[in-house]
Amino acid sequence: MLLFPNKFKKPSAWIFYSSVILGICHLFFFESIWTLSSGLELNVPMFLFDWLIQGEQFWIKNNLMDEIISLLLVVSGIVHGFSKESVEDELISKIRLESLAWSVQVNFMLVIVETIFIFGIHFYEVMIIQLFLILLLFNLKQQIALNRFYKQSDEK
Amino acid sequence: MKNKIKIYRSIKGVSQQELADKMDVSRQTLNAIENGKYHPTLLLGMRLGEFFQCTIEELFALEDSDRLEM
Repeated sequence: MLLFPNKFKKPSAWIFYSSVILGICHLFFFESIWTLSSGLELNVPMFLFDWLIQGEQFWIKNNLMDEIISLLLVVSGIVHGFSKESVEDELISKIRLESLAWSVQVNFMLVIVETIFIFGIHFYEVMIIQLFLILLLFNLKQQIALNRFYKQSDEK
Repeated sequence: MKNKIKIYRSIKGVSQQELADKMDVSRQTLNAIENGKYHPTLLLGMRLGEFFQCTIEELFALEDSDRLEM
């Protein structure tokens, strides 16, 4: 399995959990974040057109705040989840894989519930949250499992 | 599955940390193995056997609950 060096573990955790908070703020205080980040409004190329809304234009004016938050979340979440522990061994790998399996199962159980109970535009909003939730669940579960493992082993 | 790593380790006079370093695992992992909370892979089991100069069967043994009815 491709793993990042241990030195990335802490900085990526800071970036990831800060981005989670920023992402949640973006969800609930959309207008304020949009106004605060007005400097990030740039002309960017759009590769997938929405003919009805945008017409045929290739360059559109877009606030890059949500793209930046998304990239920070994904990159730091992946790096944090797949960084080596100070001593990386088979039990740590097992904990990591079990956490990954758990997060996939929980995430898609939620997708099933949402598919049944949520409709319309709200369904797509929830799916965007779901896209990042799997990383959050994986990282939280892994960290809790590792902390429990280190604590239990130190007590004995 | 039970194991005799703790016994072999004390006979050889090596600490948990020293053995963990030699096996390239963390001390916590070795502790989990000794306490039967984690069953190591065959590779690590064989490395342990090689270190203690014994067979894998001398180090690890199945408990009655691990056996399949045949």
